[in-house]
Amino acid sequence: MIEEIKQQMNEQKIISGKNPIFNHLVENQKWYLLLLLVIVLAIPLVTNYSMGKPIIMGEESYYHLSQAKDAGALEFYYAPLSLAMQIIPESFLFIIPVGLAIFSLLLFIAIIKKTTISNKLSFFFLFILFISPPFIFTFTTISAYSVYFFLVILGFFMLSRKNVNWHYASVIPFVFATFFDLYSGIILVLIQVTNFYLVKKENSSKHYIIWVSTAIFSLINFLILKIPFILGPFHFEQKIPDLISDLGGLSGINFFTIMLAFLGLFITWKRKNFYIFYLFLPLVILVYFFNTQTIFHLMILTVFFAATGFVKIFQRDWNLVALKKFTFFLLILGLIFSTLTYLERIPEIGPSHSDFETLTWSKNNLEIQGKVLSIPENSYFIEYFSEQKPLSQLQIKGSENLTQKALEAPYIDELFPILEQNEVTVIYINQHMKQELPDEQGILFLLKNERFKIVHSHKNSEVWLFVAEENS
Amino acid sequence: MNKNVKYWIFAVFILTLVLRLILAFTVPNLTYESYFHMRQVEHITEHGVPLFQDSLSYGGRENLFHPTFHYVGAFFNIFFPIEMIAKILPNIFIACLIPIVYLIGRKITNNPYSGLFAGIVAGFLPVLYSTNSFTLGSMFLPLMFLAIYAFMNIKDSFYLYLYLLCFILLSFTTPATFLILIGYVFYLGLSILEGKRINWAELELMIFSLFFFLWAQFLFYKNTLIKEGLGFISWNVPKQILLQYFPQFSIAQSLVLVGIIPFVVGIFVVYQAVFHLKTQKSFLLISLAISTTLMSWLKFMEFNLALSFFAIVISILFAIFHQEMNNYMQKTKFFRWRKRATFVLVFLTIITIIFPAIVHSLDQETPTNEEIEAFKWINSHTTDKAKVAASLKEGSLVTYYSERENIMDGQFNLIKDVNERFDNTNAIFSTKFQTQALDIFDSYGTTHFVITQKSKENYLFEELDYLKGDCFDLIYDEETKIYLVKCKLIIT
Repeated sequence: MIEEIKQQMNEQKIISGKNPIFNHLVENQKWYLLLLLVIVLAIPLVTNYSMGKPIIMGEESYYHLSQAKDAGALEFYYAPLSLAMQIIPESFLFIIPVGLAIFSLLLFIAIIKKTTISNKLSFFFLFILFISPPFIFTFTTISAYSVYFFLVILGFFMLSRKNVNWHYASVIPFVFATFFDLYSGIILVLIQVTNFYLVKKENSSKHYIIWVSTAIFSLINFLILKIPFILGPFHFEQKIPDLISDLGGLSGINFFTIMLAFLGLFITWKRKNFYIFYLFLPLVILVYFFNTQTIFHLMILTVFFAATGFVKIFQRDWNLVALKKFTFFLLILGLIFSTLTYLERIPEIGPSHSDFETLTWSKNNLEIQGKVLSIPENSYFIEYFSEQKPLSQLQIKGSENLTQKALEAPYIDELFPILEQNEVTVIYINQHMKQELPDEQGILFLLKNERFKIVHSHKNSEVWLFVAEENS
Repeated sequence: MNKNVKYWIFAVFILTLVLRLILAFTVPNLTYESYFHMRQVEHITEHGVPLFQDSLSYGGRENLFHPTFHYVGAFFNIFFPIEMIAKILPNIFIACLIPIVYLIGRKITNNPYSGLFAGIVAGFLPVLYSTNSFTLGSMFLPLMFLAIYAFMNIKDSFYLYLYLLCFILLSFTTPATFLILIGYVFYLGLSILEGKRINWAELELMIFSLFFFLWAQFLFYKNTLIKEGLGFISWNVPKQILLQYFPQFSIAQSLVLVGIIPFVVGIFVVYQAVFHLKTQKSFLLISLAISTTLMSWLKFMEFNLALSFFAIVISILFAIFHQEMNNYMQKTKFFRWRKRATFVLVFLTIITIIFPAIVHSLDQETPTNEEIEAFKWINSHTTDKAKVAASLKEGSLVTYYSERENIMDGQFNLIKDVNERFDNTNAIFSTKFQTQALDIFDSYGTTHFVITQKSKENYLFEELDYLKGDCFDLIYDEETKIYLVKCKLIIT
């Protein structure tokens, strides 16, 4: 009988030190998580490479690369990327986000060691974080939030050192982290303030200097350098699919993580140590619905609650041990399954091989002054690969309306004035446009007109010229 | 006393089953959507797997669905012909609701007579009298309420395993199972609001159910979710007929289909239970009633299924009403009239619901024998490559009896141009222009066109003008007409 009870008690310990496998994983989490991180980040990169696509994907990547290419004095914060572009060959630029992810992991684990946060929680937090689509997307593209995340972690790492000089030095990464957008700056200041005054409860001048300088630089950057409130969006926003990756969004959070986060919230509701995290929740949710590009911040908080929920659920004894094991297995399987589904969709993210080929051809063979008409998502690829000016960019509010008007114009009488007034000379059509736009009306239909001449095509990508009336 | 009640329940079960079967065999054939399920059952019986890659529906498409119901049907199909199974099996399933409702009613009132009363009401709910419908709902409803009964008894390990079995089956039967999960959320909310202690064992089952359900849906609908996003909820039903599938909640219709007395009593009991009695046992049922109403109102669930579920919950709540009425009468001078009052209540309830139930059954929309003969004729008189245009409802008859490709049927899932197909299908039954009709027939490669009497009634025509020309040959001329499409539209 006693043996039976002992056995049952042992079986209950799925995620405790008494489970040798779990214990080994947690003790050596740095190495296992590093391995997981490398695998997860390598899959999209290898997929892109094997398909002949440019390894660096996503609209945001090419926005930053274009900006870094033509950065003026006021965009001095692009200097590190410009420098990197000169040193590292273009096809190897992926090492920047991957390197940032690896360093962030190592710094994060070093920070955690100096806090009272349990190894279990940090293990599951990082595990769920690494397999979350927004994390994968951010750290396999040249994105502002990958650098921001690294800088924030670096700042807190410096703060966790014993030497006070390091504490003052932490101002440097914190200030650098304010150069991306005002929203990230605000979030950083809030994290600093809650950490200094609510978690550590230390009211020192050192802390004051750190958060005030971060706040001041955030404001200066916003008011003088004109950094945006939120950088992006770089794709057409869809509030719900962008939130839940399983509904086909670009990089949403997976369903299982969201459900776990709800459970985490329910289980930890009104717990003393958690009220700080509840403060951030309404802010990040609200801002997400304002601009879905901020999914990264929402994801971090959701993953935190999910990890908390996960640990709390499986730490306690269940009435039916078999059910506990099965649920645990189901959850891990569900999380991995959802991530794999996301990774399967990576080939759909642009630019495609034909985008690259066609736009590069355009750069080398077309010496035409004028703008390029295409869907707004292609604008960053056009700017970077063909070095031509797109008619609209998603970041410029309202410009997409003009493009939409041109793409959906039912008659040439409506389309031609738009093209002429906006100096459009090139029309770029790719596979995505052919799938999404109707071929019996709108631009795809009107291309049959004699004023449009196809000058290059590769697979499903085409470059058309809009010629002046006298030349047609 | 208990033994007597059990005999009564058995008698009611047999009586309802016999009534249902009489009605099922009186009404000819089966409802239109049943033929899709029959085809799947037959395919499983022959090949062991469902027809996920359907070469006939929509001219060839991928159709993913949970196959548990079809496997159960296929098991019986080994021993009995499909026509018999399609008429008998759903009616047995629905009749099984009577003992299940009795058990739940007895559980929440501790009174077997109250349970019996609830069981009787459940046996004659008009909304459940779609006796010729071979659809998932017939298996989903009893399984769902069996799961609920097991959930109420999870302290006993037998019921715990029963719950797990039922829930696993439900998760692989229909995504409508999420109803129970939403019910749990309301149940937790109500319990917290009323300061009731939440049982950890119940919470464990809820957590398991949530993640198992999610996992089961992802397994089958991964691609559908990615391709259709939130449209997954409405099953890609064409916008034009969305209201037909997810109609606005109508009190008048609900009164008829649930029954006036059960409906009024149900609302009263919900009010009493939430604001006065505050018993946790009834919270789960009330939570389910709230979640059903909410899901139906938000158009997340087919109206008929939601109403059926709601009606059964209300019949269970009848047990509470009976119990409360008894308790109340015991405190009054009418104490001796208790049994008579119960009898009058049962009698009145049955009288008010049995006639709507029979009418509902006789009013079911099913194809006539003559129509079915016409579709069978196509099978024996056309080549395998024939593509047949028929109305939306009759699409499944084309694939089942004619075994030919159709333009569209009631399985809209993953069909990209579903709205366009729906418009085109309507157009061939309403256009006056031969060119438009030929253009549509051309675009889908249609070779044959079926016009039934029901199509004429639905589209309000006697004859289509464009069929008079040389482009169409009338090759089957009974009440149902079948035309051969001879021309192609050439744009010069």
